[in-house]
Amino acid sequence: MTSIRPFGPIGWILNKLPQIKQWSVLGTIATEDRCLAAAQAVFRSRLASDITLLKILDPVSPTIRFRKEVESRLTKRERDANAEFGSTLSIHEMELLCVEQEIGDFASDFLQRCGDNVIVDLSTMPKRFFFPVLTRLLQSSRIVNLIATYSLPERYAKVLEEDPDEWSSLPMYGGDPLIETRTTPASLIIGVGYQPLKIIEILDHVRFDADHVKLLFPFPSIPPGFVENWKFVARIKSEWSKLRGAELPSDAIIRVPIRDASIAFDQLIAHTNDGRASSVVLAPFGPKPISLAMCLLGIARRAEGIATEIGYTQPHFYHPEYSSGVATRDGVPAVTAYCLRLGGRDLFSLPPE
Amino acid sequence: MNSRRNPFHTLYLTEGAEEVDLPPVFSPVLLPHVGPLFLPGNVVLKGMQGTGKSMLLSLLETNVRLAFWSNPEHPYPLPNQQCRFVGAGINLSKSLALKLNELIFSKDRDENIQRSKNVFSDFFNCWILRDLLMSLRRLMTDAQVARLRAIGVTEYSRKLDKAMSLLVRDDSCAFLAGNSTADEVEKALTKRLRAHLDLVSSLSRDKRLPEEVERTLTHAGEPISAATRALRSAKVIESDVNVFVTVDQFEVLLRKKLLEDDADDKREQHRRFFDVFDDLIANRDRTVSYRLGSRPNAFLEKSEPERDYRDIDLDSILQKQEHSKNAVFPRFAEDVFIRRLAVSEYRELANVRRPMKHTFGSSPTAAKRAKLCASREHPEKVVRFDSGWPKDVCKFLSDLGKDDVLSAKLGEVWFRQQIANEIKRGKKKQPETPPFDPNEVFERPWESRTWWKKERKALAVLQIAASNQQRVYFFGEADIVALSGENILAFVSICREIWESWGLAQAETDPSVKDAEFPPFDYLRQDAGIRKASKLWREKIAATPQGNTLQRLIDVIGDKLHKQLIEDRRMSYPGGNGLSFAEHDLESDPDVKRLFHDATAEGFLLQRDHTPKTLSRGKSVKWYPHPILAPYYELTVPHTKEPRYLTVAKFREWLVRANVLAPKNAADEKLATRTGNRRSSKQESLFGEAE
Repeated sequence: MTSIRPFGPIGWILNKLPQIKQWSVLGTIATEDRCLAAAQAVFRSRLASDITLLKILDPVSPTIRFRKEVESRLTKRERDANAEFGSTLSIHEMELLCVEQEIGDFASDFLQRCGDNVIVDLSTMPKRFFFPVLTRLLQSSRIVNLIATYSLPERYAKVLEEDPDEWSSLPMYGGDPLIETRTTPASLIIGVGYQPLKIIEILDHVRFDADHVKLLFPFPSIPPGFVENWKFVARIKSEWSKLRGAELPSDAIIRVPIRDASIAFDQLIAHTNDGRASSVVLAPFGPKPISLAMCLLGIARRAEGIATEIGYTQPHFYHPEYSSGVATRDGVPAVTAYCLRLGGRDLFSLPPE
Repeated sequence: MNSRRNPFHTLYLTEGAEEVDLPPVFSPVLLPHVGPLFLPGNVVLKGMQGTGKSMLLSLLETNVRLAFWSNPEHPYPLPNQQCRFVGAGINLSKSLALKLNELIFSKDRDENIQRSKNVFSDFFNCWILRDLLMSLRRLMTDAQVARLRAIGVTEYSRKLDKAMSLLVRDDSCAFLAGNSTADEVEKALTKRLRAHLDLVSSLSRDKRLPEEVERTLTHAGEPISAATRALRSAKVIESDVNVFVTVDQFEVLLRKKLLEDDADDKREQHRRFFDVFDDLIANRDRTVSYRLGSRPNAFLEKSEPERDYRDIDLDSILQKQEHSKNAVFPRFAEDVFIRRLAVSEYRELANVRRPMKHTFGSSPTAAKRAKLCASREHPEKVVRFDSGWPKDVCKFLSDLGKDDVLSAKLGEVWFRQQIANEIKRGKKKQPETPPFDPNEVFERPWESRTWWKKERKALAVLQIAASNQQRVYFFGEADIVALSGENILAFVSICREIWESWGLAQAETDPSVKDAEFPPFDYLRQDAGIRKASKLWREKIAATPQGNTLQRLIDVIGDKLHKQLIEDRRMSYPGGNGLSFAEHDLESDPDVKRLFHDATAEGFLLQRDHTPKTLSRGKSVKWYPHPILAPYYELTVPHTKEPRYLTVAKFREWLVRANVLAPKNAADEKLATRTGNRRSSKQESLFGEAE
């Protein structure tokens, strides 16, 4: 049976949990305006016991553009955060392409320091960080309540990121390379986004047949964002036909509400044999809530001892103006909160066998 | 409407897998040139993307051998004496072997590197042993006995058990002690691999390898050699049967290691595993033969070619030799073409004489190409005169242009060169040289200067097209081969887009008419297909590692060369579709050098050695945009005459201005500001709203 998985504006969610007086907040210092919105919402409600912000630095490379611009924006945000959060704030610097265990170690350290109730803001946290962080938090029975948040910007830039790397699994989600893929077709589910970073690599990488390829299409997309989404789909269809010499079936496209991680999770469950298909490959290129659903499927499968490959083509560089502004709703920043664990109960798990 | 499927629809044969029936489409043309690949000894197979490395290496895979053996019409393409081997392999990415360098084993840098090398080596050994064992078991199960005997492999599984019982007693395989059958050994290897993979998956500093694994970590290659000896000893394989181990995705490791070297990254995250393979190749153990796929401009460091391994350079094999009637690439392309057609619904085209010529027809002569690019009514308009030129000269060239626009254009160029020479002579005060007589033009002296004319024809056509706001038309067999630039992937892409373009046109008009016209394909359809393939190749750049940066790099080179070619009115640099740099100059700027090497490895630039005009410049290297990009950037295709000479400092200026490289110092910053291209992060929004 599907659990009720509450989500909505952060203020509304926090009001519904009046018994929880203190939250540990984990977020990021980024170049984007929205990066502090969630932490501010909790802090201003006097509910933040401690705020940890990851300051993620670009790799040193002669081809990285806008280095000065990035540095000056990060410095400004750091100043803003210090000014507002004062002694509740701690900042940790990490490199975007650091070795994965550094992220695992950070998560372990955070877990030791944080309280029992945690809010993780995904708004500007790269996937290679939030996937292992959420996994580690949900693996810990000490965490009683866990919420993920996501803030909407006013607008996105035309170029979001550059120089994507080869397709590689996200930390902790390498799948099971010892499975004999010749006899076990993989299910491939791609989150449809704006920029199909090296999508051909994904189609090349795994062995699957047409019936096992699904595209999670954000619907309704924010107009006119759907144009970019459809371009993304067209690109996948074209690459698919180049590689396979056949059309991708029309029922491969599954529409999911753009901000509803719960429905996205249910769709993922439905297309992976109740989440228990032996070989599943997820490509989180879509909106963060849908990527969150993919992360949660990976975690749920992990809890049952089933490995999942969740891969990405990690960009070397995010544009300093990836997004600008913070969208508001009724005069307050539009920060959506997703309850992942409440009162020690996981809300996103596989249905019973 | 045409319902037959495009024979070139599937671009890749070896990636993406079992969907493709490899035996009928495998081309053996390259096999005589890569003999060492199937002989004992280590091999590094080099080549840019798209030269056919994966296709060649796939012949070593057991699954591919079995596919050939089960196909009576397409026998395994190697002679019997080269078939005496068993293959095993690892894909460094898919196996997650490279993820082991994401772990931290010690806070001490050196100890950490050494420990992770040890763990990686053990993982590699176990993976290969398991794969070797699975290959042998698959051969014994699925292959006919006669086949097995021919390749020197036993059909008796008890002999494999015997080999395993010998193996577990070998010192290098102490970790397998207690197992005695192939089944048990395979399970033990799987369990050990899982222990390694658990480390990767848990990403926890508290997680350790099980003590029994930790205590028995193996040196790279040792258990594989021991297994080979045991297999021979137990007569699972005869004494002359080789064990070939293929390391797939070695290129990824190499690319990242080179990036690290340039960045002076002390973590040596990728170098450490590169070193494992370098040591493995250098250790001179001849029991097992390793095969590494590599990219151009990358070298092993401790091991030496010829002594430790054979270096097979596919790019050099495929490079067309001038005046060579037996060049490899055209034969390779024709063979691939025929094989693709033979398994398609167009198989009738594969059975005619010279199928490519039959399908695409001949490419136009330069004169015909020039005529196609010029205005039909007033072709002579593309001949340009300067003020002050004698009227009768202008009239002569203009009249000539009405009948032969190429000759008229070359006449214009010849006249410009004479005037320039005259000015030069005047400056040098050389009264002994007879003055230039403009009336010479009426004799059309350029027509008898064979080489002068040959070198300038392509540029003349390009300038004629540009003057008429047209693009150069490409079609016919010779154009398609030339534009493929010794890259089989480029060739297949062009064929596919031509077929697509024709299919599209056919769908829009009366099918019976179009069918009657084919073959050969209509030249306009071919040109449209080629242009699309060129555009797609350019788009493909962004999909490679560091792709956006490389795309900007190629855009800068393509745009600059185009501009210079069009503005070179005297055609003093007809070979100006490439750039030459002195090697010592290039060494001074690792950023620029790496960009060139990356673009070459991915097949976007072609690299050639260059002997410069002046000896003082020293050894030089020249680069050309890959010919398939010529239609997109509007460049000439032939690589004749001297390329543009450039200093690395000047080139860096181009790159800084175009946002390819970040400014390195204050001078670079100033340059960006002075040229009005000061980098700004301000950009349009995703949906085109003004910010």
